[in-house]
Amino acid sequence: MTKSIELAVVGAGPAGLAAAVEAADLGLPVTLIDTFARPGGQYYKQTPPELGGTAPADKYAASLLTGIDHDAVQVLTGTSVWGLFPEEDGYLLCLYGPPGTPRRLKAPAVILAPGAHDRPVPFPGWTLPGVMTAGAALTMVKHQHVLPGRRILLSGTGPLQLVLARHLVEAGAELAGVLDANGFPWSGWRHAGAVWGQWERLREGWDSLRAMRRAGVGVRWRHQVLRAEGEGQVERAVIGPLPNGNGESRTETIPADAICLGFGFTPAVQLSRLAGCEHIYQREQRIYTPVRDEGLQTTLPGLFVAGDAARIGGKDVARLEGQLAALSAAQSLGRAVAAKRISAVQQALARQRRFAGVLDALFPYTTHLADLVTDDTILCRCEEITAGEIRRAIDQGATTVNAVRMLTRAGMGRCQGRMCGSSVADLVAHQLDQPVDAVGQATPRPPVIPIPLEGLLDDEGA
Amino acid sequence: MPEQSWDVVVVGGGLIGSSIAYHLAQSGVRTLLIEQGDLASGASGANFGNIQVQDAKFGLSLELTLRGYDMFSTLEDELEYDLDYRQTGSLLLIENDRQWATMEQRASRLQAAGVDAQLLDQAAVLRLLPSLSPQSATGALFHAHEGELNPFKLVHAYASRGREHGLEVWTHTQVTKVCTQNEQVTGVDTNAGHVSAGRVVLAAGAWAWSLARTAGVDLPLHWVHGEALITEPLPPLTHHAITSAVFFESTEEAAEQTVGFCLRQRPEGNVMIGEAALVTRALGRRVTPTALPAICHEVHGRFPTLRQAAILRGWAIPVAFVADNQPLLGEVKEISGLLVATGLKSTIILTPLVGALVADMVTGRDLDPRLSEFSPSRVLAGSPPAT
Repeated sequence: MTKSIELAVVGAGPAGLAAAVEAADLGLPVTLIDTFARPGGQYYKQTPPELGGTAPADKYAASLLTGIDHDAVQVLTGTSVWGLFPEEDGYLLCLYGPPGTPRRLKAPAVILAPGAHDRPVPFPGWTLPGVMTAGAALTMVKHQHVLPGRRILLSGTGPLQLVLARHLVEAGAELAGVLDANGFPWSGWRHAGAVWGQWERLREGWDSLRAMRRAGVGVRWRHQVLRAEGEGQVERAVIGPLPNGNGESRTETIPADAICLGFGFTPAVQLSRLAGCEHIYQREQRIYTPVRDEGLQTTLPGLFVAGDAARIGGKDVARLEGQLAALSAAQSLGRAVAAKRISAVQQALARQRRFAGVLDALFPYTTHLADLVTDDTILCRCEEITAGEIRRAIDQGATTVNAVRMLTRAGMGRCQGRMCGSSVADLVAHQLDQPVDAVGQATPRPPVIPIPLEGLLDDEGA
Repeated sequence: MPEQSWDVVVVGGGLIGSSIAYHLAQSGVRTLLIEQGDLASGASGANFGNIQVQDAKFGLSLELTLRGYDMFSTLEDELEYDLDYRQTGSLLLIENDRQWATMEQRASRLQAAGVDAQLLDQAAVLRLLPSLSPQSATGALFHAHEGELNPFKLVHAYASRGREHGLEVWTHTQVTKVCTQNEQVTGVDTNAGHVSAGRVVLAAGAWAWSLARTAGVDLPLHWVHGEALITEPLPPLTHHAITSAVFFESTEEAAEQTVGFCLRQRPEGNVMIGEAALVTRALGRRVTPTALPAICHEVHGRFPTLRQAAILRGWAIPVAFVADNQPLLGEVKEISGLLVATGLKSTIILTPLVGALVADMVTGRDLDPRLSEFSPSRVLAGSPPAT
């Protein structure tokens, strides 16, 4: 029933792929598990053959994607990990996948590399069809060859928006505008040292800006979408600077039939929280991240987290963290690892992390939910719970995310709070004038993603 | 923090504790309710919300259960709170001849006590539950008017109305010790300082056991690690509460581990299914990897149409019980001023009544002398194994 393995890697994006390849190079048998039908994750997404079958452009993607074709690597695609339970001698992973997939794996070492989710940003009208995350829009245009709309508004912060804008323009969409909630990154020169050498990235940014200029679109700094309007579908967006508390801000209404929100990402911490390792709240990024040591081990021995699931750093940080986690895991399993290899990976990682740190500093998430949502704005989409209902629960004495959840059902739907958890926490903290980490998070409960009842049985057909 | 002084400290912000605190405050008693987490975050928050009559132990328990049942028709008005109360009916599914004999006997004794319980044959059960797999029940004990409510809302209703009568509620506060002097309660120590009180009521479910031990009292209390799960919203399956009669066999024999079956579809369409239960001395809240498959296996056999239903989450909580299936209710013999209210078999139906009874005990109002049957200091024969 339970299959014993040496090393499990959850997630086959840059971090997971790199971890699996690194482990295989050391001769360590590894099981690589991913929810999607093809390895690659979001950064190295492989377009299905029926849609042209393009390979990812990243220069490391090809070698990693072919690197897992190795005797030491078992790949389980289309397979979800719904539970991770620490046991006396390792971790039990509960799986649900295509027929023949083992339902339980037991591993003394586990590397979690599940990546991140787009950060949801609620505002009046955000549940109208046509409002989507930048990540979803990028997948549509790059991999499904579908335009999210005819006249598209981008609102968010940071360079991913520029990348999306360029893809949309090249695919023939009209841009209603590109809004960045932060100001122009004038202070970027202060980070010249960290940016030095990142020519590929700078070039990508430059190309994106040029493509936008050719299309006659510039970035409007310190602006964001405040409201979406329309009959059954987005037709207009009200945009402007964030209200600053001194009354109405100067707003304008522009026509748009799609709004893409790119306010960054939140790490997928569902499995690490379920396993029970320690997490801390990063006040600047406003996300929870697992606590890790130098070798990327969490506070639970044998459990490692690599890539965006631990801290949003992008594909190169993720790839190098995957390598480092595999080296650490191999050491924890008693394998000999060359010190030179570890220090080389650590040095490369430090350089990439410096660059990720620049982006964090230049494009912080400054939007405050309480400035945007009205009492009838839905925060929990699954259960359709509004900000007003949540405020009422707080008035009735709820002081935590869990208490709000019990009283209102916010976070009890299909997404189990992945989408609304941070919004509810922000609102509770704001109402009670508390720091966000004082109002807690919803208790993690397995399965961490919805699984059909028959999929939870110990054995198929049982 | 300056020292605080109250007439009564109630420990445990679940169904029983909040009801007691509300009734005390309403009687003009200066009361502090202390809860270690959020209100209703222990067994009360893991409760299916069933207002059960049919499973009561015969005798005084059944008598109180029937009195408790009558209080629900007016409870929403009394508390001026929408509790999602509705009368839905319930079925105790019979699966073998032995259970049939037990339920037949139970039906006639319940009817004699004036309870509208009917024994249904298989055909009648399948008319009520068309999606039930025929081989999974030979019959059922049916009560048409058993009800349900939202336990979170009931706890919050008591706390809110209690506050209007001067009740003080501290959540996220840990009681670390019940303090005594010369066999008399003097208060409690908490992580927020000492609180003086002439009376302390332990209404903390399974946690009452370790709290009582801080005052040197060994309660005859046990608990099971209960687990349950919930599906996504589904089309109407049943509005009745479904319970397997296997619970009667197992709890009366206090088995080490049972995988029983109970099911309730929420008004929103989500189906709650429980439960795997393990007698333990650990106060765990973590779902175990074995329980969810075990519960799914139970569902799968009985409701094959739920095979593809998405499971959203599982939860686990220690649920208190007493080996003789009678609650611990009243003052402990060894320490004056220390009261206990826990180990109820069906908690919700007794919640309003127990709150009123404990308030009577504290204020010294006339009490039914038969309640000594529930004394927490009674001696119990035998106790279940703990793992």
